[in-house]
Amino acid sequence: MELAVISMKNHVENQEISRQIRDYHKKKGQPLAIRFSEELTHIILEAPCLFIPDPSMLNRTSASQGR
Amino acid sequence: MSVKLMRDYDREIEAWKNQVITATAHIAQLELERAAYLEQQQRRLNYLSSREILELLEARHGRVGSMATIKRWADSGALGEVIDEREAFPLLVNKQGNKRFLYPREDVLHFLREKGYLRPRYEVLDRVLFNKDTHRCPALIIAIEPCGNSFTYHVQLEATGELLTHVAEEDLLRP
Repeated sequence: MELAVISMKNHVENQEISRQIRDYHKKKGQPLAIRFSEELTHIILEAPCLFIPDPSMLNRTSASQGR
Repeated sequence: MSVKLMRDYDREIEAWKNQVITATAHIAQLELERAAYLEQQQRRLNYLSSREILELLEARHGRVGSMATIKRWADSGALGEVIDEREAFPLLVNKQGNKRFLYPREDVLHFLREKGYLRPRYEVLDRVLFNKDTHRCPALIIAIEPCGNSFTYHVQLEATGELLTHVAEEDLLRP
């Protein structure tokens, strides 16, 4: 299945944003895979469908692809 | 005029010699029993009682169960071959105690893990305090690996970005 992917730089603010996305998925009972790139430079969120609690969370610092 | 009665040395010496023989035999028997006790204690580590399973469930945040649940699991064979604690470990139990069943530890852990009842205390992305040798530094959970009935974590220290692998759950705290 095709996955939607968000990749963002691994720093404290993005960690907080990722946590909110993680908890939002948990609340909705939706699957979400969380991993880190090599050298831990980026946080990578993957899901069949990504739910973002607040669209303003995602700015130019994060790259998203897929649905 | 009275004569001091002669002390019966022979009898006294004989009595003490007998005590030594009895004590020596008693020591030998205690030594054997101690060895058996230690062996039972060691073997007991491979088993969990119902109470120990409930404590494990509670500590692992999975859920709080009841004795009835455990009995149901045991009856369905999910907890492996059940043994009677008194039969298997006579030296470890009180004579007056209730009959207790024990379940093979590995079978229980396997079952609970499969059921998803042994959950890690922290999740990926959780912010924690790495707590070791009086140092407490904020860290991020990067990955989790099962390890026996617990988990080990890979954490990244917030201050330096350094990655620590295989950190025990006991070395982490909620901030």
